[in-house]
Amino acid sequence: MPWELSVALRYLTARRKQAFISLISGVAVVGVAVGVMAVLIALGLMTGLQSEIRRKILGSTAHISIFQGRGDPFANYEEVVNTVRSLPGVAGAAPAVYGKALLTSTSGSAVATLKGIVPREEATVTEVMTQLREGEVEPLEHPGEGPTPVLLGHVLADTLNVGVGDVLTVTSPKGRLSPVGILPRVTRVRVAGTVDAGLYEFNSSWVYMPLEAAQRLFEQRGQATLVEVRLDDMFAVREEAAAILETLGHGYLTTDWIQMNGSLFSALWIEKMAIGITIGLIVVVAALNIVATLVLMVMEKHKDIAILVSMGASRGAITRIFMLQGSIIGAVGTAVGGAVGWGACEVLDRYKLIRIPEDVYQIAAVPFRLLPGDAAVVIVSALLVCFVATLHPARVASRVDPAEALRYE
Amino acid sequence: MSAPPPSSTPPLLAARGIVKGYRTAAGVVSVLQGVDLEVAEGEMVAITGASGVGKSTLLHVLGTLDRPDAGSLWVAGEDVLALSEPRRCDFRNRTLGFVFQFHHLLPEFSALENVAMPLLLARRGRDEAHGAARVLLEQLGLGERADHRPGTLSGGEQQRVAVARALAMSPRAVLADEPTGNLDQATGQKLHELLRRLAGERRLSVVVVTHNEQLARGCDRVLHLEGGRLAAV
Repeated sequence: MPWELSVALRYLTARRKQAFISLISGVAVVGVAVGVMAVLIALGLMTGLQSEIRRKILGSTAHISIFQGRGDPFANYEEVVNTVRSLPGVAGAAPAVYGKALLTSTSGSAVATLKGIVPREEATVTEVMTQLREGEVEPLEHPGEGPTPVLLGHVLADTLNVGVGDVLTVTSPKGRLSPVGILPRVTRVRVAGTVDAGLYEFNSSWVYMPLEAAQRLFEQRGQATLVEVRLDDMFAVREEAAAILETLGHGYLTTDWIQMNGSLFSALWIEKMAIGITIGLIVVVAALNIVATLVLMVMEKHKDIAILVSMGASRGAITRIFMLQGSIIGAVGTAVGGAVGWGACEVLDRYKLIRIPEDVYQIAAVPFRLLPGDAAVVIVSALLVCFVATLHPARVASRVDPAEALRYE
Repeated sequence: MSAPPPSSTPPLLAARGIVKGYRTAAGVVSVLQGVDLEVAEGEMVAITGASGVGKSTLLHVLGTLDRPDAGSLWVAGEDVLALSEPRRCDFRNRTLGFVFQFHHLLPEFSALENVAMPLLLARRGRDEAHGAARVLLEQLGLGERADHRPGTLSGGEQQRVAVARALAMSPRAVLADEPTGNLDQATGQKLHELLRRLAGERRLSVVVVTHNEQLARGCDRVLHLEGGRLAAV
């Protein structure tokens, strides 16, 4: 062990006459630990929320959507689905028909987004088929006679005050031309099940129905509004979209989940950074404690510094002693804060300790997910801030004039 | 760079025309006004003078802890004022030992660790440094007290630890500032005899600043500092 480190350690661990210095050394360590812990927990929370929101959005929407260039529905969707499915990196593809319609029950009405799906194929693109709250998907596979079976977001079902087996009226604005004008298309549907997608937007306004029924309702017989694609790697949307467009040739457009939710994720990212920086200021305040501790230590050790210089210690060596002291305070604080912060994230996430109203926040418990990269940035930054805090006191220590310190004994 | 002092047997320590002053609110106070001093190898020189006359300042200049405003200083054939800061520190570590009136041991370290410190500064291994320090402490009759902190040692013991520390690197010269000033007469006498013996055994040049006329007379030479200059007594 270099002698500078042994002196630094001894100064930090020795009982001192000035208990105040020991106290503020302790406060400095605790300050750094609290700061690091707080930043890690905050980042864990923000990342957890971001991941959860992303998971829920992607549970109900595809990674990439393919449109016809002019926005018209396309008839060759089966060919597109088969072509896209054969591409590497594509986990699944399915056609969908989208439209808006008015749903009316005996006790209410609501405008909803209707999505026509092929349930078996939809399962390869979204998780809607596994998000059933009540009822079953099977009727959508084999509609049979009678009203068309549909799946409703459970909030929408509550709004319309309907349950499994109830019948609704669907009024589509895409109607038939008649001598008295355009007549809306009206059809009857039966609730086959309700869905909990995890996000209010989907739960309150989405309806899933068989593809053929949606095609009829929206006057798109034999056509699909778009083809939805799920990827093996959801972050590879740009490369995969380029590959898809290249394979399909001219006349197609794509959009992806990042583009569609860009402003949301951008806001979440900015919020994460703002919270991280704001809470990170605790570390800066703790670093000021390090400055105070070291300045007081230099004042207390004036004579020791002079003695070490008389033994041949250079200015550099004296600088190193006090830099090491501050860095040890920073390292211990960061290590403790890092361990407690990581542990807190694990415990809070595993045991779902922070519960929140699900109907308001769409999640039952606050999720925590600490990314190794985030933790590394926090730890390195904390160590750096603590190290920078040592520079001034260490420089003051190195400038102690030994002759003067020894003269006024 | 000034030339070394011409001599058939060059002195271990040679100071020429040392001038040193301090700025105060009232102006510059000139403490040393052209001090000349030569100390031969193995010689023990006492510097006496009234309080505040600049004895400690001279000692600090001789020990390279303070820089003179003018003059030259050669120690062990080295123009120490021309050395860079790191080399001067290294030179101080290898060539000079200090003993202070208030011993100035590092309170957080044991007697053994205090004596080993100059060796550790010279990047010697811990075992080697502690081994050498233990031998020195035993030679000075402090073997039993090696693991004690300075606060638990008597004044005489503390000063002997300080002497052991000054000798740890086997220096060529020891500079002692009132080494007996804080000790009773008997203990002070013993310490003086110890320094005297070590100077003889190790061919050590010793410069002692003291108020004690009796101890000063026991040195090879006594110089009196007055009016910023040294004069033989």
